[in-house]
Amino acid sequence: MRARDLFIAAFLLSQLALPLRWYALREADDPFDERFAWRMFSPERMVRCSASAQLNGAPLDLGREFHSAWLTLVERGRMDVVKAVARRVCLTNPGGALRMRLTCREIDGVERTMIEPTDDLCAEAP
Amino acid sequence: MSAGLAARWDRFWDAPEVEPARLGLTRLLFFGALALDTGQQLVHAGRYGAGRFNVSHLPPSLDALLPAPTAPGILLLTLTASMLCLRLALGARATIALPALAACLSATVLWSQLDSYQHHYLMVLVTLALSGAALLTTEARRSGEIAPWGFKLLRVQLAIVYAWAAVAKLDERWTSGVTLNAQLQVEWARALINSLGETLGVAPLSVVAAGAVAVLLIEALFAVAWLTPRLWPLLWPLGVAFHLSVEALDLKIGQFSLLMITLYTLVMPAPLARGLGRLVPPVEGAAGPWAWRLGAAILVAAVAFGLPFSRDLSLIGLWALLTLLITAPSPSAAARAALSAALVVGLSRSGELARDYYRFIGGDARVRGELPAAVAAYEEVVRLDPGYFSGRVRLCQLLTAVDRAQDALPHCEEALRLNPGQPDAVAAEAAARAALR
Repeated sequence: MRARDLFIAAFLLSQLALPLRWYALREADDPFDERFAWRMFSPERMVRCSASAQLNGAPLDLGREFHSAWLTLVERGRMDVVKAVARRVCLTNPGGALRMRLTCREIDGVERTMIEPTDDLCAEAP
Repeated sequence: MSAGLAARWDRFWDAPEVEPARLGLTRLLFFGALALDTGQQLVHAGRYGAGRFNVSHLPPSLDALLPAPTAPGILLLTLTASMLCLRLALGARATIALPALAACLSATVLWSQLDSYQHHYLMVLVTLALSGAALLTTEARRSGEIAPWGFKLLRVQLAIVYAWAAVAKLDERWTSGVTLNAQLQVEWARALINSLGETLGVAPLSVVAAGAVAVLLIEALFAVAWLTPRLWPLLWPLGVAFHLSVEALDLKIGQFSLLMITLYTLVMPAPLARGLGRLVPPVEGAAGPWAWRLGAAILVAAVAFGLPFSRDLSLIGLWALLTLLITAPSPSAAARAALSAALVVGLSRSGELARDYYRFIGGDARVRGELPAAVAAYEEVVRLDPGYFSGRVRLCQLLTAVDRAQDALPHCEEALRLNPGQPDAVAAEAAARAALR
């Protein structure tokens, strides 16, 4: 097989497989991350989440820690970003206890709690 | 692969393009539009690297190995990508220019989830596909053209995109019209829906639902049509009209419609493509005195000094190096290189792009308490737009906050000259004077 044919085959396979991943392999706790899936104007895109955080029992203003563009992604329920935000807070506050609540409202009005404030995210962090 | 299938595969990719004028025209229009889209992204470069926080599009295990991007780094990649787009639109040899462009776009898009625009991901794929076609064929490397199979790959890619977009809409929340209804905000569309609903005696949501189902069917049709040359005479007007209507509905998707419309040149009616194809600059040749190449690099570097950002020698050096590598040794190629650089400089100086790049950096730094960084950014804001009232006030406040009230006062005074008696400016000036006592 020529390099050209390998290139085309790999390119096309990736375009079939990457979107398929969203339908077949997406994690139940991360339903709103539609990257690489070509889901333009989808219902998931319309989700609106609200996040609140407490560090060692005191309210934590995420807007003072992170650029607003990251918080926009948090408000879209992008769990990769939410987890990274939590990791960063834990990293910069060694020994701290971080509790978050992340609630998302979908287009059909269904409300889903993605993160309950019962667990200390810093204790869970690797 | 069976012999029959392999033969059909080869026949498909090796068959000569039915209307080569479409390819040259696509190159001109697509890369021209992409230059505009990429150039306009420079305003967003300021959000990268804030607080050295980043989440890339790579899997988390690889993400940890990547350094966080920086605003100047993304700015450099964005401006370079825009310059390379223009060079390609104006006929630069693709062998180096196209992979360099694909690298710039891949880095800016994949490095951070801050860029999650689907059309930017599509542009990465388009440039990667065309890079393959510029590199993996001996004839293309010799001529500096993009081999026709690259454009065929784009047609297949677009068919795949429409197919998945249709699949995504096989969802009750889409077909019921609820999702589309929430996204339709423009007044004329709402009025049209209400009026149609009244005429037909149905609820407005039913009208939207019919539209949503129509969109699903159209996308499925497009998926088939991109792979069926017989349907191209229907696909081109329908596709262009579809994306124009998406644009008219203001669905907040940036330049996606414009870029898609330029890609529809790949299925444009042949007589139209041949007519417009006469405007396409030919691909630059490879032979000629080497001094032209050097001259072009010097010229481009000189033009780059006109960029409105703090002097960035790495950018100027990169542009000069790329110009050396991609510019044919001829006076017309040198002129095209200088024109491309000048257009990017002009774009970055137009409107409020450069000013807002610094304003967003300053605004974020201020909110996160990094006051010296905020001062530095707002000093650039005021340098670029001395008559910008809000910038003057903010700089006055920030300088006062970092114990530089003496430096703050002239900015408050200028703000009050621009907008006499404005309460924020009055308060900022009073605070600066109080700090001096």
